[in-house]
Amino acid sequence: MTKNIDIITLSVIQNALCSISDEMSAALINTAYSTNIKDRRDCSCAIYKLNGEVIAQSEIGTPLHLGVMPAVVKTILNKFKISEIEPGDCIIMNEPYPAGPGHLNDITILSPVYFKDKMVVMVANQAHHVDVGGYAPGSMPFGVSEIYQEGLQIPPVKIVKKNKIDEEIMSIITDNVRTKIECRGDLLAQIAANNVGIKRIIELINKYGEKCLFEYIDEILNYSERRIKKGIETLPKGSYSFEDFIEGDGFTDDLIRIKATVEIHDNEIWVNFSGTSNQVKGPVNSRPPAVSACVYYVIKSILDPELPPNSGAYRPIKVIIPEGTLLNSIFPASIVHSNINTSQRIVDVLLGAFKQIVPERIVAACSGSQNLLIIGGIDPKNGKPYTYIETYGGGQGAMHNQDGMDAVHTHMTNTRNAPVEVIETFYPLLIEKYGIVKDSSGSGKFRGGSGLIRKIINLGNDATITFSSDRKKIKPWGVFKGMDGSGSNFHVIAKNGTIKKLSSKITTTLHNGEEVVSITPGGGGWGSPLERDIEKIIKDAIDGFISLKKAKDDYGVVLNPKTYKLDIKATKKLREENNLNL
Amino acid sequence: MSYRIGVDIGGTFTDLVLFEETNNEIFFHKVSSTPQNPEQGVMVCLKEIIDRFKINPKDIKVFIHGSTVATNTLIENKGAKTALITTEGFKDILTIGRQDRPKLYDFFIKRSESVIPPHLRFEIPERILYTGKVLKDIDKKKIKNIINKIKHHSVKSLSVCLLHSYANSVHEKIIKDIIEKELPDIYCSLSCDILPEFKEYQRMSTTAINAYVQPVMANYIDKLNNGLKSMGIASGLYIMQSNGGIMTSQNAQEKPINTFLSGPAAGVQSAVYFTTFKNIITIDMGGTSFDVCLAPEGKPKFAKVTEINSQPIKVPHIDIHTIGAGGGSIARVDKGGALCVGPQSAGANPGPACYCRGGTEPTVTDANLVLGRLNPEYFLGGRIKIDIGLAREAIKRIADILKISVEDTAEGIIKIVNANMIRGIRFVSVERGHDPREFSLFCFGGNGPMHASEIAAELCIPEIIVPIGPGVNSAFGLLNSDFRHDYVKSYLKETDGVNINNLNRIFDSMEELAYKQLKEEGILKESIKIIKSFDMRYAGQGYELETFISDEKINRNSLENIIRDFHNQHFKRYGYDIQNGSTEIVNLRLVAVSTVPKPLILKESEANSNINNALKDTRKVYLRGKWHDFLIYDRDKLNSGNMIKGPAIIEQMDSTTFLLPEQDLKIDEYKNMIITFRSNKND
Repeated sequence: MTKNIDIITLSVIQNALCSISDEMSAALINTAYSTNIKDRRDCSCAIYKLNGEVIAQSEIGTPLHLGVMPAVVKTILNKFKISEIEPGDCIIMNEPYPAGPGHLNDITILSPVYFKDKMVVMVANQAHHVDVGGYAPGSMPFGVSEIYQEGLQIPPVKIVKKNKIDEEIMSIITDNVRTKIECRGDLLAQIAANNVGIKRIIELINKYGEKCLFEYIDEILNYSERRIKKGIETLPKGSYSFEDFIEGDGFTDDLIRIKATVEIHDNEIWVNFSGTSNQVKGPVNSRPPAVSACVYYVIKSILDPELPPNSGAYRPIKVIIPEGTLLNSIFPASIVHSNINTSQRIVDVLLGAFKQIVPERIVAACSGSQNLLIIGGIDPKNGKPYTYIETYGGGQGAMHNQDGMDAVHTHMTNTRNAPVEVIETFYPLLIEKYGIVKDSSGSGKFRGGSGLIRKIINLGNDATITFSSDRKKIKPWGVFKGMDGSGSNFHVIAKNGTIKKLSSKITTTLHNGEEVVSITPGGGGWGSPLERDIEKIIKDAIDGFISLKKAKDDYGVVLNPKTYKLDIKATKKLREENNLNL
Repeated sequence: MSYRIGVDIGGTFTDLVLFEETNNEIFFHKVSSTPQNPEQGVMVCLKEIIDRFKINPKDIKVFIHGSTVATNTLIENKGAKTALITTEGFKDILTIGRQDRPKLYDFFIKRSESVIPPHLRFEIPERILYTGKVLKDIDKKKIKNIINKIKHHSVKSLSVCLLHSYANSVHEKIIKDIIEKELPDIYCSLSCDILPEFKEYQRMSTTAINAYVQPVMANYIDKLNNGLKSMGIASGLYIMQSNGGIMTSQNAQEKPINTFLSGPAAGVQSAVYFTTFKNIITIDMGGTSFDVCLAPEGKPKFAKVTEINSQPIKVPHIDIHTIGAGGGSIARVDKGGALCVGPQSAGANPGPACYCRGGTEPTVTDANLVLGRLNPEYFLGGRIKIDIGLAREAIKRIADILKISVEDTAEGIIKIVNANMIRGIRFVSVERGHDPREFSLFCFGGNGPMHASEIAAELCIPEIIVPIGPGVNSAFGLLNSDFRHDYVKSYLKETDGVNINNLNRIFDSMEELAYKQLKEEGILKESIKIIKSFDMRYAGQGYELETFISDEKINRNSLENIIRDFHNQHFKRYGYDIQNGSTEIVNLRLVAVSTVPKPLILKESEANSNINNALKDTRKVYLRGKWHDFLIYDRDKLNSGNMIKGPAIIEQMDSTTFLLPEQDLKIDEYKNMIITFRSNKND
């Protein structure tokens, strides 16, 4: 540690920087227009050094946004020299190629923070816009093979110049999206969030002095680096591989392999994705920043969940991804569902590798997709375009000492749901059911979380829907004899009652009066179900998480169908007959 | 003689303030709290003060109570067995919540479970649309089935929350009618009564929590009422609400959800009363928690949603922000070698290491003791014996890890707990567009005056106010609170082309309801003040700003003024407005207030008492890396006009005030201590 640094001031400044990021998030959410940001909070804010390293980030946000943003900032700095970014400028960008966000929907706005005629740091935020144009409402279609079809690509340009919005650039953007008013409102909210951040950072510099503050900022990053290295040192050295699959790209159902080899060195971790399938036609390809975001997420969660998240923690991590593969696709390959499915599978693959290293620190496979549903069309009430977008939680995988959470967003996303009453008020949709899926959890000594079901009836005109999920065939895996969670399921019920089973990756039409049913996967279990505490099995049965049949088939426990009490005799008999030991 | 009494129950003490109206005299009393049966402490306290002043119980006209029963019931999971009836297809909403996890990077984080387990949530076929239109009639036969299940499970309390009931409550009311007939002994909370606002999860959670704490609260209030009666006290029992107003105990039994911040709200009311119309920030630092509230121009800020045990409760309340920082907060060194304090607390048991009750972890109180800021001989007026050796021992353990001295570690603990509290103050001030330099810091709670000086210095708050009895401030606030009821009605409409007659009509019906409720509490219509407001936003946004309505009846003109005010507020808070953007009304709010007579605080003329009379000692105090000699004063012997130059420490039974070298202290004409920074005065 540098000699001028005192540990107390370090902690105080770090707190201050985090609360500035939080305040940026609050301003963004409070003034945003789209349900996706104001209710679902699909947005993240952070503060950056001039070399693109992240100093502090908001507590509200998604690990994916926060993980790709350093790359976004670096791309912007490749285009603009520091001297070309003036006070009061805001730079907008959404291009995943060559390096940027996970998909076009995630628009970043960056602002410089000037102190005494000198740029000192930058603030930026990323928000998922419900529509950025392209082939289908919501701009996340299947059936596309080029990024051009996914929507408007915005290279780094100044949308605000010296505090004045460039209405020409603004109009190019808003004229290319279906939900124009929301888009503009959300962009204004993003600009406002940065302005709040700038104001507070200047106050902080005034207080601590520029030189002192920057010494501490460097130390905050060094501190995180030291801490993560300490964590790495506790791991057994060696090389550990795992692979898992994405079930098709929307064009075919062919399995697409993701393979990772985690190499633990003295105080570095290298992750090598050699062995991963070549890039595919449909939009499940990924770019390296998004892949790195997943790697950072897993390593931080496993080694040090409480670690202040900043770029210092990422320094000892090296990610190797062969070009032309699924995870490093070549322009203009389509990528829009990378965030939804591929990112979650990368996490599963890494957890599979870490299971061989530190099994007590991982979770069994979670729902494995962000489970996206988009319904878009024209609202008959006012003749205006609408786009409902929501990602659904599922079961969390079980851990060595506890059950997974039910119906929750895991890993690379953490957006909220859209309230039923909000959906029905603002879209021509009626919700029939929103609940937990019985028997969806992977059984085990500790069970996985349960999946989610949402049934929506289209009250309006024919609409375009996109569904994006995975884990239909290869279910979320249990570990150490824990069983798999149930898979995803997506179907449409026509007015006459016929059920149309649909693929987990599809863009199609939802007619008036039709009902769409989305079911998300449950999480995998941990340990043999026969070792589960019987009281917990009884409680799950009473509360409707599992059926009596599942109690019997998976857990080898017979419960009285009326009282839910343990039928000791029948249970003993069942276990003897099947050679099961208690 | 005529008396008004306020009683506030804290974790350690039950505080009573007695106000004699005829001669305008105020007395304080304190006994140990009885957490298992809180009413016992209240009765003991009452009995002692009646005996002490030979009071005729019949002369006690008003008894106002700050209750922690609802909060504790929820935090300790001790509510009644509660069931839910909701629309078919939606019983899992309480499990799903908002589907997010509390922490991004921690696999092992858990979400707290709802107060109503899934098997006690029942679904009923019915459906109402957002317009209020009935899509599907309620299936009354199914209600009968549910009633059988409720009986079978011996449920004590029921909550009902149907989709869109804020727009049309007819089905919820049908359920209530049937329940009242069939199950007269069961408590029943309807979401259309508790929170007629849209967004189902918050409404359902708020209603469920009301139902969950209701039987406990009702029982507690019955016991209190009986106790008062048996002592011959005929006065009405009034309960403090989170909104800073009082209500009758009958209303508290119906809506205990309104009492979650009962005590802290009273503390804020007292601060506001003492400092009329000043810009103040109140801080209340006790043993485990730190409460902060912002009151620009003497008006406390209000908020609509809070979370307890991560379950949302949506009722209008004084916006009191609580963080886990107090005398009992525990210090530790984290994995990366950084010093952290709290939010874990040693509580009252075992308490700080110095309490000699087996606690070994170093706390903030231990640090204050080691630094010489606390007097080991005069802790709570000498009532509790403390051991400085144990405090040093506990702190030394982390000092050894940090490789710095015990004193520097202790000072580090203070700095970090202060930084945490400062972050809390920034959260309610700076982060909401208020500059703390324009405020005074009103500090109370046992530990507030000990930390206020450094907090104010760090935030550049120019003035600190320490009231007479920092430790009984909340009880005092009970006597200064008015009757108050808040009403809200969701009414989503763009202001452009809104039907003004409809707005006035809705406000009229809310006003009628307010008059009716206050009449039942014995309030005359003439003494009621009505305040109306809109929650407004730009059409499309999801969060609102409150705009007040000054005219009795809204007309075109006043609506335009309101819209202008909204643009201004948006600009002030977020740095921009959208002048040509369409604005919309989301909720209509109405507040009805009736003022009560308050203790008159008499000015004391500046006595020429000699400051040396109050000087009791000198002590070595460690500050900024060095030992200094501090003069120690006795607060009880300080009089109006007395001035003290820092550094100094002022001790009183319920608190200790710490004065920095660059600060001055003056006793004002109401005997408050006013602390200012010397450099401000070019001294």
